[in-house]
Amino acid sequence: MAGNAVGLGNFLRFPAQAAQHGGGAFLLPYLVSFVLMGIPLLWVEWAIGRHGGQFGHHSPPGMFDRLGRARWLKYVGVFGLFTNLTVAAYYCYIESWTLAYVWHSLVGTFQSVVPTEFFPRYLGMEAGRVTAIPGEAVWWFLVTLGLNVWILSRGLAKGIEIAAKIGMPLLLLFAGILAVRALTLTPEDPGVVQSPLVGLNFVWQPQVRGLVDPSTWLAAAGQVFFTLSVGMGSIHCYAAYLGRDQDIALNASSAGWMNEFVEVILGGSILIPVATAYLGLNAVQAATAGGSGFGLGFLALPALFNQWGWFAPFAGALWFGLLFFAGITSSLAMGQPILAFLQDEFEMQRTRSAVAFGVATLGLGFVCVWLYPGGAFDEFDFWSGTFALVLFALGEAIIFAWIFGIDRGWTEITRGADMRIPTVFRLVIRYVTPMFILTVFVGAILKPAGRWGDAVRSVFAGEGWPFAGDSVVGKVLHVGDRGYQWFDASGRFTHGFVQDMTRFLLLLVFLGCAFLVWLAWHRKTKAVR
Amino acid sequence: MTLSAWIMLGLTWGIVLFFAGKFFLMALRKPSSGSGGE
Repeated sequence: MAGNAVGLGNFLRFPAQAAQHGGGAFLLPYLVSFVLMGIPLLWVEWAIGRHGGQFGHHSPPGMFDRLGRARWLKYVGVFGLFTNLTVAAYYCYIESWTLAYVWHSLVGTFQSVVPTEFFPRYLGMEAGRVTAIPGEAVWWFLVTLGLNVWILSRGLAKGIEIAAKIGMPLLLLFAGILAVRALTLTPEDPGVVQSPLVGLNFVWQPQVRGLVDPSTWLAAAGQVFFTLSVGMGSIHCYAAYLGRDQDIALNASSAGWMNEFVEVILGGSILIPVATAYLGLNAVQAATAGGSGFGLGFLALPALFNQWGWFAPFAGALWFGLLFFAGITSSLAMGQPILAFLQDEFEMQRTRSAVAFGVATLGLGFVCVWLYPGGAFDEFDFWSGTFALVLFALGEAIIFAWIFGIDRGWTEITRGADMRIPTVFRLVIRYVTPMFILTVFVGAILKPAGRWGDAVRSVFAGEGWPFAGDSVVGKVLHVGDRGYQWFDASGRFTHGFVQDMTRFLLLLVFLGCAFLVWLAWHRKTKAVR
Repeated sequence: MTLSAWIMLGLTWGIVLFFAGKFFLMALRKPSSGSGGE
């Protein structure tokens, strides 16, 4: 389960988010969010999963159907299919980059080609273009997807568990080696312009002003969401295979805290310290300004590893191998609920359902590859990988505490527990966690450009609420997209067209998943009659 | 590194190591903690 939670975000997103939102001050809201929202949500998801498993349901629609009498409950579980399918599509694409980079690191590509030129070319990025069929990227995507489908087709015990048992220790080993090497770099080493401790300071220096800024709290809560893979449906699925009295309290706690170990201690000690040592703090600050470390991870680090002499190919392979293992354990977890749904509700064989998942992911993934320059990938990331997670988590937190009921819920969480959960968490799960997620949800919808205080003042000054371009409202209204239109002067479709069509596609996928749920229950009802 | 950065790092690493270690060791000692398999 820790393999599911530990993903690319632990190494690429966390350090950049921390550095951009108050440094050390980010960690306080981060840990508070983890304890009041992350851990309770883990318990809730494990409990919903194990409860559903007792009725033979291993995917969210069936599990939610069993939480109450209302017929609409199973449609909340549609999110657990939709999110996994659509996130897997673009996540497998990122995963394929890491595999390609392992190869290119080993064969020494980055010793002759500048990584900052290699990456855009690899993705088929060209100025003015919104489509691309980059041959090599497509090849690695197919290899990665094929590997995922093959492992999934072997089942939980022979496939995913073996992959996690090999992947997780390797990941910890790789990360440990790189973290030690990163922090022991000295200004005397060739190419080093600054001590890596300057980078570490950038991540950890507390800026007290950040603590009173709502953006810091929202960013911290958001990071907890992504890093724990809550609000997806994958955790429910794994928990559904547990026995009625098997522990979930300790399992969830140990998986959650293990993820924090990888993220806070290992993830925070590699990317930014290494990049600062070779690029200097100013360049690192500029590269992480958006709160993402992807630029540094793929563009800068291969170049930096080149300074490490004979160790360079191995360092590159270690870093991208680490990211690959982190990625594949997560993408496998995304595939399993889809397979379980097809197996449980449509009596499909495991291999066939794995192939069905592969075909659907290939189709959606192709959209991400083909329309990457036009922004389709970012749309998938925002609507499926961000917005849908929060919406699903909000729904499940309310349903679990208020429809299933906190009394039954608490009994479900604590039955067979190998640890004692403090009783205060009963209140936390009932009141605090849903309110916390609701605040994150509303914050994501209304996020202003600039500070929240300035936005409020803007309303009182009669100038309206300045929505940020990456707020939900800002996205819908294309705030900040200058000259937003579907076609340019020469009749070619634009970024705006790609964005809107991708949203329409995602809506169709959601409706398609809902239709499959309706069909499955319709067949069951007919069979009973 | 400034003193305040070291303090934040030390505190956070301490909390994370304590709980991650505690739950990991507890899970190792309990044979029922683990996935059920398919």
